[in-house]
Amino acid sequence: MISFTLLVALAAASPPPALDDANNQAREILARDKYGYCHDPNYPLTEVEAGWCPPVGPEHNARCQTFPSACKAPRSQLLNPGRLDFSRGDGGDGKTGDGDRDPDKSTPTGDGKSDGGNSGKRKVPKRLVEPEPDPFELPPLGGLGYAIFWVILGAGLLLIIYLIARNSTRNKPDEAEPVPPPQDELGPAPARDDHSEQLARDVNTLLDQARAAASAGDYARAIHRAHAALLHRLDHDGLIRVAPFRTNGDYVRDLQSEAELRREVRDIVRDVEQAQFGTTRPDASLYERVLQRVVPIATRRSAALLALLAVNLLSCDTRNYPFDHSPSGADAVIELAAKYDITIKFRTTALADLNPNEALGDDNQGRTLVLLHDSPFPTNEEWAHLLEWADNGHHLVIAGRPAPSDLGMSYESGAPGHDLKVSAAFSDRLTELDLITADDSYLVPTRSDGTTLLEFAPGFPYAIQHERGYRGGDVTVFADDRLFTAGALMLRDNPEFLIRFLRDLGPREVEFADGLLDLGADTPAEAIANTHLTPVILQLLALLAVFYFCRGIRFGRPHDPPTRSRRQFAEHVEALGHQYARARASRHAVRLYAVWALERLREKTLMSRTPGIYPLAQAIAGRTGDDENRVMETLVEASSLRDATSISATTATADDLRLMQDLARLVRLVGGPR
Amino acid sequence: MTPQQFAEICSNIRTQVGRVLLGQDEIIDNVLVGVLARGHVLIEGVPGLGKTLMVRALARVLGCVAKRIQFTPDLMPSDVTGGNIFNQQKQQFEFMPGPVFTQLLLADEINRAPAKTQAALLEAMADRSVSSDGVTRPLPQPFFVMATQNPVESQGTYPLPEAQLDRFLMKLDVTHPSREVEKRLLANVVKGFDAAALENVGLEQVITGENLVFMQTYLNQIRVTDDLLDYITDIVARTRSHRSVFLGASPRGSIALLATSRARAAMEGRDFVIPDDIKTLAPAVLRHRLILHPDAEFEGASADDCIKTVLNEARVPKTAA
Repeated sequence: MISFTLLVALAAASPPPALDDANNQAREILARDKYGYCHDPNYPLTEVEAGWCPPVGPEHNARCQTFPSACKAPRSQLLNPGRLDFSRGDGGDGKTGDGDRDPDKSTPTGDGKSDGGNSGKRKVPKRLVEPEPDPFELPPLGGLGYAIFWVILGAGLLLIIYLIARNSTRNKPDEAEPVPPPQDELGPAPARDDHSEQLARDVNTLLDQARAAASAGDYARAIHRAHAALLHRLDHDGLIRVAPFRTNGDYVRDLQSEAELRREVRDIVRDVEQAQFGTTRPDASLYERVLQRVVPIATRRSAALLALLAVNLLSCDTRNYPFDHSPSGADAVIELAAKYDITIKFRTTALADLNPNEALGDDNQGRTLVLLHDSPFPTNEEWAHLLEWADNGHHLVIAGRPAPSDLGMSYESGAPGHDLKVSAAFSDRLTELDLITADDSYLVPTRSDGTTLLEFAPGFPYAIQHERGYRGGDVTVFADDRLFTAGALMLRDNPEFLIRFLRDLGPREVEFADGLLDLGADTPAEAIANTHLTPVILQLLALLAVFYFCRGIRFGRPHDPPTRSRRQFAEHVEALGHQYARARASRHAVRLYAVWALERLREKTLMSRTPGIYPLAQAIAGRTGDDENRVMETLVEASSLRDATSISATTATADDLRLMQDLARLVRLVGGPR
Repeated sequence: MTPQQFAEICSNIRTQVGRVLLGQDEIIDNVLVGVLARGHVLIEGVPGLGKTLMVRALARVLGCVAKRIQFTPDLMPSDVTGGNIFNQQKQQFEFMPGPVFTQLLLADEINRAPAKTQAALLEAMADRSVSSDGVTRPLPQPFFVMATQNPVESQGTYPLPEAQLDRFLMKLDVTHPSREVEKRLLANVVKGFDAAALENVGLEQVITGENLVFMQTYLNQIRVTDDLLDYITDIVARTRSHRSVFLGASPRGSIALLATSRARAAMEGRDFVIPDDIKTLAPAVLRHRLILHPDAEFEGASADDCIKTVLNEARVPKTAA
């Protein structure tokens, strides 16, 4: 697009070349590297593009030197041919270039009916028809099934609403974000120095800013920017992590593993700090000293990256041939037209948007619209629209599209040869042109009230023009759109004819309608609707809303996680345990537990009123089946601990733990703690 | 004196002390910062890490008089400061100076003495003078207290009151040396090193007490920009608003951070402070000045954790970020 704009600008700045020089202009255009089929002997032509091979012939072609060689190269499959898809298959599967085009046996005519007459090799693609979504239907569930289904659905919705409502109000006081301390408490806010505004992170930008500041005499700022460039370079390389709370010392320490670089950075930082915090006033010499050491570090990494990128690029197969630059594309045609002050644009809005009563231009000239071969087939309404538009003085060119029925012609193929003659009725000057096309489609007029422009031979017209209305409008029908493609520019006087034809129509702005017509969206909402992603996006938005209300996550704005005001009980116990362990007070802990466990054991064995340890041991052993002596041993140990008058710190934590586990086991066996 | 000369002297001091105290370069640096900043240092560490050795070595290298007080539960305040004793010959009371009248005082295991004895050091540390019987006597210059305490044995100890803790410029944590350092240490012992006989090591006296006082005065010339003052106040203010901190650092903490930063800057041969000085010294200067909420302590939070959080929130002046 940029090159195109530049070309237009250049063309506007200089007078257009002579019309009879159009062929030379086309040669210059095709000599550009981007038209690979004129430079690459192995250019993968599609089968359709290979249709130009017979007219070009095996001999050297002055405008497109390698095209004869490309004709001998393996064919490629053009996947989804169109201006937005540049991919070409490797041709190894033997499929034809138009293999993905639907080979309709019949194509619609202008009245919307099938056109059995269009049997050319290039089939009219189907109009892109939006598939009708399948209506959602519940499976046959029966009355009860439906009721259950709706109940579950309703309950689910209510549950979601309830969860959102509950979580949006739950624990608000506790989970509120920590209130920042008042500024009075924090004291005066740190003064932002004059260089502390948000810095760019791009190294080159920072270096540019440094140089600009230095040239303005602000050396403090210049040094600051150069220093920032250095740090961000190291940050980009993953050697350090730049953050507002990190000091230069932190950065130098980050470079522990790179001794040489660390030394360099330390030296630079020393100078920078001298300028920022020292008594030395930053001047040009200090700035130069800093910059001279920063630039090599900041750029050598970039150079390494560029080298790596270059190696990658060189190692890649760069032969990517965009559709627009192929023989089927129109880029070369657009460039050629631009040289003659003719602007060709691709129409994006629907044909229905064309205003049939559109006024003529200031020079009383109508506009030109070219319907190319792969443009969507107009509906009857659109045809009526278009013809009415042409009646009002505009120019409609139908190239390879089945023409509306009231023009009275159909398409056939199999005309003799590829050479075209220009009808004398068209223009005396044009009759001298030597034209050729790749295809042999021709028009069969059933009602000849138009002027034959081009024909293969008498009775085999290739292009016919009908005048419309009383304002100079016309409709021109071509048997195909080959003359509007770059492939045609390779041969004979095709370029000159194209330019003369477009200029003869008058206006300097021409619209091409191709397969992308009306595929664009006017609004973002329409774009989403076109992709049929509306339900998905709505679900995502709903999910985000749920996240927002449930988790309080403010998307795009970092904030502290909510702080818990209370610990969980398990955490409390764990912390308590750690405290006991730190104080080496396991004996104290087991004593407390022993008191509690003996009480529980007495309760559970109904021995609360029976004094003594032995009866309790008997009861426990009788209930659990444990060895009575072993139970007795545990109980005696526990009771002696309970009755001890003083407890000293002990290191025998293993014994304490064993006793606690034994008691816990007994409590569990007699019925648990509750 | 130029910054480079200052740095060279400090480097020599470090080298000399480092000859007998292996693998504790950071502690030596920080103690030197404390000395230069006219502060007192509290060293927390288990016994046997060379705390006493460092003080003795430092005293020798600095050319100062050093004394040691072993704090015990029965130590009386007069055992620290000295007191009036009746001279029968002269028939009058005479003041007998205590061990605090020295230039370098090692208060070993300071938390083993009761609060009133600890408090005897308060005036000495804060005002560098001792008052007894209505007479105030100045302490020698320079005066520097290096106290130690054992973090492990808590029985029979008297934790230092906050007022006294605040008077320590820095609190340093001494940890065990690495294996390599410990092996070198053993190798030195094998060669005949005796910590009790430092005179045999051949430590060189680098400066005199007068030189040290001059160096302390020199720190006033170290430049501190407004940005850095903001940075210090920001850090200290944030300790007061930290959610785990019950009582944050006092303005004395700010002053201490400023003084130590200047000392560090001078030790590195600069005549200006940089943010890294402040950030590096903030934990040592502030950790003993914070009182944490009980529940935060219960959860295992430490003052160092809080300070780390604060330092990760405070914006460094003239940052490139």
